[in-house]
Amino acid sequence: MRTIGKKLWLAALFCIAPLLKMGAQDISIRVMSMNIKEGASYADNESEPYAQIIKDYDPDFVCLQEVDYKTIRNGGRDWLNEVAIKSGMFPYYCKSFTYQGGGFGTAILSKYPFFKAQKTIFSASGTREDRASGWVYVELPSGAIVRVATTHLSLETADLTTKHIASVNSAIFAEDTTTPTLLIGDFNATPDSDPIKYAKIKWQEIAPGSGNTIPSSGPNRQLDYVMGFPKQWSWTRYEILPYPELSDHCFVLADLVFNAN
Amino acid sequence: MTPYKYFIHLSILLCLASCSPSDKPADSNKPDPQPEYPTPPEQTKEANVFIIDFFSTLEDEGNFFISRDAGVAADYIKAQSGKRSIVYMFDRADYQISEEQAATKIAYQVSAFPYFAQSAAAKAETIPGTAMVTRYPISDYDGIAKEGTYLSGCTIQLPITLTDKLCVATSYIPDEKAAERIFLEKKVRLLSDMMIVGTVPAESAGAVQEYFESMSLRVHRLGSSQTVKDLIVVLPASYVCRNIESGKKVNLPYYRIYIEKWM
Repeated sequence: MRTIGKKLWLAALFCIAPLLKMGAQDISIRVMSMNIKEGASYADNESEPYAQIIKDYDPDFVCLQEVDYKTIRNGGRDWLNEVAIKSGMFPYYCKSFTYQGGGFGTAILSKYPFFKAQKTIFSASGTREDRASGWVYVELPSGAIVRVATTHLSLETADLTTKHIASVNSAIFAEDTTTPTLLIGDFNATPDSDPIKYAKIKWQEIAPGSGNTIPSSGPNRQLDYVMGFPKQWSWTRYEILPYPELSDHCFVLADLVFNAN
Repeated sequence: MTPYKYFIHLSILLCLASCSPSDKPADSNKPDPQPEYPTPPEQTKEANVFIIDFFSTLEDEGNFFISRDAGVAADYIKAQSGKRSIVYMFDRADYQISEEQAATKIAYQVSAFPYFAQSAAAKAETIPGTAMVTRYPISDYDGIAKEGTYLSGCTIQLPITLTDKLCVATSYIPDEKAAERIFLEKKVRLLSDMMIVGTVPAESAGAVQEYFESMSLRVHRLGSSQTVKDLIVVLPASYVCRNIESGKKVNLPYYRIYIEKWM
């Protein structure tokens, strides 16, 4: 009886599999990760130098971390909107917590309009602050739909960082387990650490071993990653971009391809 | 068979025939022609009314801001006092890829948040759509991009006594088929906590209205024989559109939409 049941399941899966794949199409995009260090403090909170880099590299998506919204320390600037205006991209701000009369969090800039966006906040005892991760859904010019997420994981202990990844996973995949997805940002964990090993159960690390990302003046550790889901991504370019005058983290640039079949 | 028995059999057959569900449509997916929703009270409760401003010419003339100044729109928003709009929408504030966008510029000038809801695929350098500006920080945007049909909007905590979250979405709905696609994709939210303020071609407006009403949604429409498009407002039954005023700020025509959550 069990064998017949198993065979029926396999037959059903065989029939359903092509249908599940129907929605996915090949994708080719350029992404960047930018941890801008405490609201762009290295550049006196100016938006121009970051906007110029974005314009120079012309990415489809930029995943940002440590973005201030109208805080005292950034002079009450709407930094993200300034970069969005200068780069001609669509902004999505994910506030982690209220800070100095404004906000502190993560953000995404998208070259194409997004039709859906959500965020999740990780709040756990033992962390010094809440952390927001957010994602946008975009229909690319090819007609393919991609989901791009930005994250800035907790750093207090490896256990908390792992719990944070689990929390992001359950939020991202709560309603949708089929759309090709990228999770990009500052994971606050090195490649051989337990959190990254845990992340790689669900996610594919893009260009593993491609280089250290911090400190930008002489990188000796990797904390910034580009991860893909499902594990059908490849890359044609992956660059670590050190701008020590703009951040303690190097920025990351990647040209990615999702192979639907 | 005696005439008496024949009469009994005939009566049973007629009775069965009258009890058969012949008054129900054979295809259960077909819309019910009679909309079913409760009637709101005649009296408006001002504390439960919110406003949306929709800037549009209701014409098919391309980018709204090609011959209009985004600064005028920013001045309009800044000058508002008393009960202010929760969202300002700019129909056909088309987006040029990698160019400065009107909504982002307006939002920056008035210390608000921008959003752009596309109404066509991002295949060309110019993407038609509706720009949205709101003073509320938005973390939840919802919508669809499916088979050439687009709908999206932002979820806002309404500033009314009957506190509730509502996704204020927009769409260009070309025909009844697109209306059906939108409803099938967003049925649960449209019946409870999502509204649409959008446009529909004048020639399809009646059919689109009829379709949404048959799905128990409340529809309000405004257009004229002079315009190419109609303004359409689609609401869950617990909301009602109390009024639509038209106005003009310099050369920016707009419609001020008053909506009440009454239940």
